[in-house]
Amino acid sequence: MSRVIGIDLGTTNSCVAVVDNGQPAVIPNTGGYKTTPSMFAISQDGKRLVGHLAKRQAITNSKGTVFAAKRLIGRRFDSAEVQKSIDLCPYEIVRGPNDDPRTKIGGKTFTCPEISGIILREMKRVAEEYLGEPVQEAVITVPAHFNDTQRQCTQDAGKIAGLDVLRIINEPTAAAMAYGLGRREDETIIVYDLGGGTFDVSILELSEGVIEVLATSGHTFLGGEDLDRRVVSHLVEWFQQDQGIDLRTDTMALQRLKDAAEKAKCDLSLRDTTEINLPFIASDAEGPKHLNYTLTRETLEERVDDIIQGTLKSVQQCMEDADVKVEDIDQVILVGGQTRMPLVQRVVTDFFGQRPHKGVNPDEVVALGSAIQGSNLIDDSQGQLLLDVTPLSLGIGTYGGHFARLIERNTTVPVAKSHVFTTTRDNQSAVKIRVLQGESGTALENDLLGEFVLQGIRPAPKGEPEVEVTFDIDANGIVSASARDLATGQEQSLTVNTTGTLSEEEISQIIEDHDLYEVTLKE
Amino acid sequence: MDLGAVCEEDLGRSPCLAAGCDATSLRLSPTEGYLFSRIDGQTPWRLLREMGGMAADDVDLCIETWLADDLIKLAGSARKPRAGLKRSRTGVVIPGRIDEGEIDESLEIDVEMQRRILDLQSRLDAGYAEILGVSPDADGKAIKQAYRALSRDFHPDRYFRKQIGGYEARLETVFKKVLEAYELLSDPKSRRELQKGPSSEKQASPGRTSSPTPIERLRQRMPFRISKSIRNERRARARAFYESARTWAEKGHPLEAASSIRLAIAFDPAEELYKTTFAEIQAGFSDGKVADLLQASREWVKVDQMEQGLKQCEEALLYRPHDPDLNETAARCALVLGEQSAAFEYAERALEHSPDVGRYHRTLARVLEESGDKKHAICELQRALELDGRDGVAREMLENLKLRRVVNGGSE
Repeated sequence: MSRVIGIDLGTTNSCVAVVDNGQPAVIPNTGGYKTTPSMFAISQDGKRLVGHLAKRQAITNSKGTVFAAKRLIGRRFDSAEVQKSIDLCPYEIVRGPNDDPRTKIGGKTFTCPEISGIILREMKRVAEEYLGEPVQEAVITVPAHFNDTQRQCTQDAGKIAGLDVLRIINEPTAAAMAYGLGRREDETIIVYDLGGGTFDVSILELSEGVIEVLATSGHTFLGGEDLDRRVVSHLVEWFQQDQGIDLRTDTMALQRLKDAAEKAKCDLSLRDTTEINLPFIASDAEGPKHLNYTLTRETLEERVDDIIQGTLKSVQQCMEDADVKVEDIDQVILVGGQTRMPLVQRVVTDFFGQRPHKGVNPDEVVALGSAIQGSNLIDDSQGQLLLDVTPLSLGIGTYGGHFARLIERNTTVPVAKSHVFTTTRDNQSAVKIRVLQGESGTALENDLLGEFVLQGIRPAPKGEPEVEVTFDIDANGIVSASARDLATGQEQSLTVNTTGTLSEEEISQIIEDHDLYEVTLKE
Repeated sequence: MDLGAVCEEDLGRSPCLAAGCDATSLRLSPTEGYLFSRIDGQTPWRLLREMGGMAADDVDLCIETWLADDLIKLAGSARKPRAGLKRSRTGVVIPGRIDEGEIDESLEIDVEMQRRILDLQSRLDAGYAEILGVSPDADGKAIKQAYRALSRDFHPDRYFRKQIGGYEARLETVFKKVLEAYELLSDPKSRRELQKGPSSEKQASPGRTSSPTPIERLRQRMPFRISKSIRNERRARARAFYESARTWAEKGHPLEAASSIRLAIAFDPAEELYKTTFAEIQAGFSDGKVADLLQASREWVKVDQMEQGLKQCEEALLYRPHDPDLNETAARCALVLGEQSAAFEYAERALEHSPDVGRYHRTLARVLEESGDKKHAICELQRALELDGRDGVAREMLENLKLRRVVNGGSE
């Protein structure tokens, strides 16, 4: 039996791990790094580059390098998040035929699952090289509050990478699994996961053999990259004051600034001040201009304080949902590279009144946990059982544009719930069931997962017929919905598994394309 | 469970513990444990019913089960274990309680585990506390522990991608029910509600979730004991509404009649007469409606407004999807509109229910001819003529078709 790998598919960096003799271990890539940048590029001479190779040339080839594709995956082109990315990213983002955002580099258009698939394929390769055997099965992690479409797209990405995705699990849950491995005592823990692009918080209960997620909350568009951007705009403002030149219009300068900002930010986790030196950043009539700036930790913290304080709102929401108080929490686990920042640690310590747990590596713990879950699933030797929850409420759109919840967020899966609805017009013969996911009371503001029509309702005054709508989430997180006319027994149902933006044919087409490409590489 | 099944003599006998019965190995709820502790060979069954701390039929069920399990004995009884007794009260799975035919040794799941799943599945309607194996007054901690322990064994992930046949679906059903029990019992509010309506918990049937059926909801809405005078008053009112419904119906106002009869049912849900009358009125109502729609459709067809005709037909079909006349009319409209596949479907459906009407065969022939299938069109026309020799239109069509076939054949 081949081994299952666990992949933490991050916004900025990805990490792969495997369980070896009962112990999970991170697999380093050929360069010796334990994480690989989630970047894909097509160089000027048409070469396809992934990971460190892509990152190294990003400055000189900013239009041909895709990063942070995770922020786009499974979203609609018109969504605020995609529009924000269009403003921020040097590479081109175009509207796909399914209203999905696609990236256009090197004259070719790529879907988001394709980009993620390329990165996953790289991680698969890293694992195969290290293990010396082919790898098929994987568990992939996503931010806890990813909706069904985003999860489906990630699953598609796995398929494109040639992986059999056993399960998509939540990042903070994976972190908790890694933390809980080998622990015996009952504990309530909170996982605070601030990564490159997303923020998650989950509260879990650990007890003998079972890890139960109590609640989860977060923000899909908040992370280290936002901090970097604050630093970039700080530098741009300063440079404009100092030199009178606006760097915002120069994509290459922006990419250099972004790179330097990230380095400076990491530096300031260890030091109080850091030097930013960017020679020849611009030039005017007087000749070339250089950027030399000393950034202090104080300035950085001042610039990003509101972002970090803002994460506490999600923490409070999560504690409310889980019905736990600060004093109930036994451990605080910090996950994600951004939690290395002293400000984050200070804010968290102040809030919980205790220092966060020191035993886990925030960059690797998610991949380790996903490898553990993968090995638990296929191994008979009964490891920890994970009782996971559905992150977003599921329901249907009702008369007047309202949203009626059938399955509340943070409900343990697998689960089935039903509720009886009725008609709104006299002699109404059909009802349309619109399956929605989200937290807004207004149907339009939630994500539409699918819709179907139940016909043949016997004519009756409005409010008389009884239509029972049942929602079901199976252990794999697949949502299905059915509606039954209680008078006639007539039934209609829908399995929501086609919401990904790619069809089966498109996926196999992409796999074929990449296989062709693989062949040309070896020539 | 039918109380009469326990015979008088047995009720007078006193059960005693069987030799070698180890009570501590049994997984009993406190209530069951109490009943078990009263079994001393002195107390007769009848008395146990009264002092057992639970409903008489539950006491009977426990005693029956324990007898069947050979945990206790009934001295001097000639009784045989009752057939069909499958519910385990003791939580210990004893072969014979479940359908051994369901056990499959070739699956990637322990036979013992298969038995446990079947056993738990057979007890899913026994009430939430019992599913979790806790006493009805168990505290939150005990409930959580029981839930976790059951999850460890019955969560579908335990057999992820294993060949476990029908047990995959069973595990899902069982786990969902365990989860439902945990959710409802661990929330003080829903737990109070469960305790308020003593019968509502028992009514939760397997495979269904928290939503009760309409009848169950009606029962919940109605107080369980209505005093005689109130009941008589309600019955009188129901009768009055029923009378007025009849009057409306006779006058040809089906809508008003239906709403009156509905009120009658609301006041006296037990009266079958009202329900049958309601069904009659509804049927009459839809008959009238369908007749109207069909009439309207034909009018439209006459003036060549096929689209309108089809629309009316399709609406009428919602009430009576199998009416051959409606289907035939729809087929004719669809054909003129060029929707051949729809026309074919309607024409077929008309014949499905009345294969002996020549006219329907003629319509199908028309559809077939239009789609170029002359061979089958001829067959259908021949059948139409067999059924109705005087159908001049069909004869003419048939002759035309045959003629064209000859002409075409000659020219090729």
